[in-house]
Amino acid sequence: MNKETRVGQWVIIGCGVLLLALAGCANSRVETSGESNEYLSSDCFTRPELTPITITDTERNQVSGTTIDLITYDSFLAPEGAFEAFKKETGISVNILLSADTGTMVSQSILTAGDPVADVMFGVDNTFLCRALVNDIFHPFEPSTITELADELKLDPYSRVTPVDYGDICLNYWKDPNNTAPTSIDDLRSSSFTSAFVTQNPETSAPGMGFLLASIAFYGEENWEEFWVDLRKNDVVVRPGWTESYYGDFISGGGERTIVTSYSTSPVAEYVYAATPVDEPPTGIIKDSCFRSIEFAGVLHGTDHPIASAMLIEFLTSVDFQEQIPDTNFVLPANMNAVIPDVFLQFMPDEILPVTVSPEAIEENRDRWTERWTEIVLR
Amino acid sequence: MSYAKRKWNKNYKENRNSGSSIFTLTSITVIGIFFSVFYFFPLGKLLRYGLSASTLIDVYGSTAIWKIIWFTFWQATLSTLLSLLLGTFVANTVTRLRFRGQSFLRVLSTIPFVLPTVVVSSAFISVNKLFRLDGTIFSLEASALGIIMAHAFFNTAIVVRTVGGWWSQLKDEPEHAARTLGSGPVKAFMHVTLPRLKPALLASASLTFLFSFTSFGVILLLGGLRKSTIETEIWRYATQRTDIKTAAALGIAQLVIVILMLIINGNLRARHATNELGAGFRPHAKPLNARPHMLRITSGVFLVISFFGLPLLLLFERSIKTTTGYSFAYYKQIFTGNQSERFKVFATKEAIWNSITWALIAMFVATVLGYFAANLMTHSSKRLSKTADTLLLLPLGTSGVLIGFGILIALNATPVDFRSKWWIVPLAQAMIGVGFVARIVSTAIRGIDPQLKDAAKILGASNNQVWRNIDLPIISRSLVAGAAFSFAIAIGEFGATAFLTRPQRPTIPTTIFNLLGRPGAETFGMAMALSVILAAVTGVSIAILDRTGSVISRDT
Repeated sequence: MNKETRVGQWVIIGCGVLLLALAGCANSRVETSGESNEYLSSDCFTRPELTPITITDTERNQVSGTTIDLITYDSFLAPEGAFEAFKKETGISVNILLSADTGTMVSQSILTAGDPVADVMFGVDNTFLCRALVNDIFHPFEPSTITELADELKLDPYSRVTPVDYGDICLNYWKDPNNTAPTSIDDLRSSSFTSAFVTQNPETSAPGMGFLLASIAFYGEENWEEFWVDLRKNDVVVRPGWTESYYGDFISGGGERTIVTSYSTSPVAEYVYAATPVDEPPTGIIKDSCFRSIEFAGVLHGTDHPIASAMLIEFLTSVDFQEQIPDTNFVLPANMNAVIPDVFLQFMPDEILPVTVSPEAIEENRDRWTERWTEIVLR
Repeated sequence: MSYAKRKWNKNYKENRNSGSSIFTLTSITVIGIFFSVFYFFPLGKLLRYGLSASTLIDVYGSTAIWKIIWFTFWQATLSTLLSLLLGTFVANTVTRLRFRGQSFLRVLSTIPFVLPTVVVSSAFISVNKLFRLDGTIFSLEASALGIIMAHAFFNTAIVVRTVGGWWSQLKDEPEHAARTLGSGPVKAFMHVTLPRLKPALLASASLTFLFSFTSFGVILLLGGLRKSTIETEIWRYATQRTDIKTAAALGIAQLVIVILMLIINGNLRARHATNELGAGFRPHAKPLNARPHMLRITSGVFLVISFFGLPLLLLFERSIKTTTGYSFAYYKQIFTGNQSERFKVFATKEAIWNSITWALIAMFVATVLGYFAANLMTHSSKRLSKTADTLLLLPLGTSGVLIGFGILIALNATPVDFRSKWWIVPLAQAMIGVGFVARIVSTAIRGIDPQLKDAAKILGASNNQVWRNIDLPIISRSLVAGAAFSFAIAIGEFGATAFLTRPQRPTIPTTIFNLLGRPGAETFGMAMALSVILAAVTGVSIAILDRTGSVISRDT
């Protein structure tokens, strides 16, 4: 190697370092918030300093013509014509932005707290709620629809977030007249269900996380690890995401496994999206295996359009919108006045008793639980 | 390289660049602004936000991280070697020889590059089931072997195109001389051909390595977090744990390794530089149907069909398999105007259109900028060319999460908030594409035989004529190859895009993702059909580009 190339190397390294340093120094505004990145657990529901948004009738008319951004997770599908109806009613245009999964969306919003990418966020769930609240990414607002929403879904007493929909993460099983159907989460340990179960990694999948939480709530902090030790012995298969497990291993997607972690509405979807019409869904639900997932919307703190954003929250929780979301996203409306489509009433099991784990407990223990889980199931 | 030749080259290069200082200045400005805005500034800001001495000590003080770094490194190295081996073999068949259906095979070997990871990994898992490999050492699931095979499946296309393009413009005489003097075909290849292919091999090796090094979907889907790489750990900490500090600390390891690899690669390329590319040398002007070539053709065709074709065939089979037997029902469902109510929400036709326009924009930006960048990479000033060579490939070797998160905190300048604009996505894709175009084009520019140009000048050709008749044909071929890749990168949507906020404009990959997110035989079938359409759209686009490329170089 000649001298010239060696000098060249150092020039390259020097340039790279210099450019990075320059870029970093160019704006020191985020520096101060650098340390606030660390969140303190179990302080989710302390009173926020921001005063809630209120809307007067004149303000309502003034915002006509504005455009606001709604950020949501990547698998959300907007009901056809829903936001056009909102525009017709209020004059506000909604531009939908898609982030990745819920965890990524919340992390992105924490990174941009106070200077948000969008005006409203929809889709933060109860497993990430505490992290979002502790980092002050929302501006409090109590919509006029609040009295119509189910009380058990309103987790934040200060209305920084408003519940929009809920659904249960449950074990689904394939109905087979020749075999006995599983009736309890505890059946998964039995030898009659060896090599029958496929689930998802809680670090990469929301239903995977939901079922881990369901098992922790069901067996308690002392016994949940034992349950997963038994599942491993019973040849559980773990996939990174719902799609790979449902379409790769579950019998309905062409696999061989008969039990899968999915949603309480999955049998309804099996019925609706059946290739040839069926009389009833080919799958059923194990009723004691469910974890309740609640999805919230909130006005992002720092928005330039607080009034229009607040009006969007009212729209998202209004009966009109609420009646459209089951069909497109297979979740249930938070608004009790919303009529649930017949097909859901017909094929959703009625006596589900979903467990809940408080957002504080989830935030406080999440990393420890997933690490223990990884240790037991994967290593 | 002899002293005389080096001196000669130097004079020639100075001569070449003497009149184009304005062009160089423009290149530096355009490329500098683009990369500063979309790479250096966002990444620097994120590192500044996240990095702290104590986290660095914590992260690099644990043994776990060194295991992850080591695994990331060796899986990328083996993936690269396997891609080079397969790619060279395939390139020999699809560009060196001439037979019917050759261009079809060349397109076929490129298609895997764009397929959604989730579709490919499901094909791999079914191969695993088909041959009952689970539990054996050949298992493709949750194993390093599966990861390496998948990387080779995706990245062999890079080698085929880069090495193939170079090979087709090499003169045949040295091989003929070797064979005449008594060397066997293997010996002739090892001692004569291989050394002459080195520039192209090294160029594609660096691209393949960077792709395997920062690969995300393959590691997650086939490794299932049992195997972690630096990239999947960055993703886990940044997105699922909101621990930007640890993610930034891990990003440093990526940067250091990538910079070191690029420097080593650059030095190797400098040492093995050859310039003997000449347009007009068309070694395969007549079909090679003689018996000795039949074996080469058959084995090459067999490899392409079995390695690249089989998973695609499996995919196609799934897309036409309905509960009532084989039919094109799912395709009809995608294209009919009056879709049933339950499928309206997926907007499949719109997605196809969006994907194509989106990819064309990214391709255009990447090709134009890539040409500027290639000009810098081949500049007579060694300092400038080496800096450009390393810096422009850095984005390919940097975590998409870190760039995406960096863009979110960096590009919020008023009055325009870039972050929520629709064009940020094709621009981010173009950034990955620029590195590609630049590397392929600069390899070709460096390979142009200076004596050829000299001869033309002595015979009275003007500078303009020399450029049009010698430079342009070679550059245009490589530009087309680069354009094809930047199109493929954009239509397959990998890189930083998954971690940027994007407007809700459905594209083929996002629609496949949404379809696969809902239970039901019908949604699955439509997702498979859309994957086949993605493969077909890509195939047709690349075939058109190939044709355009050969038309340009033939006309001149």
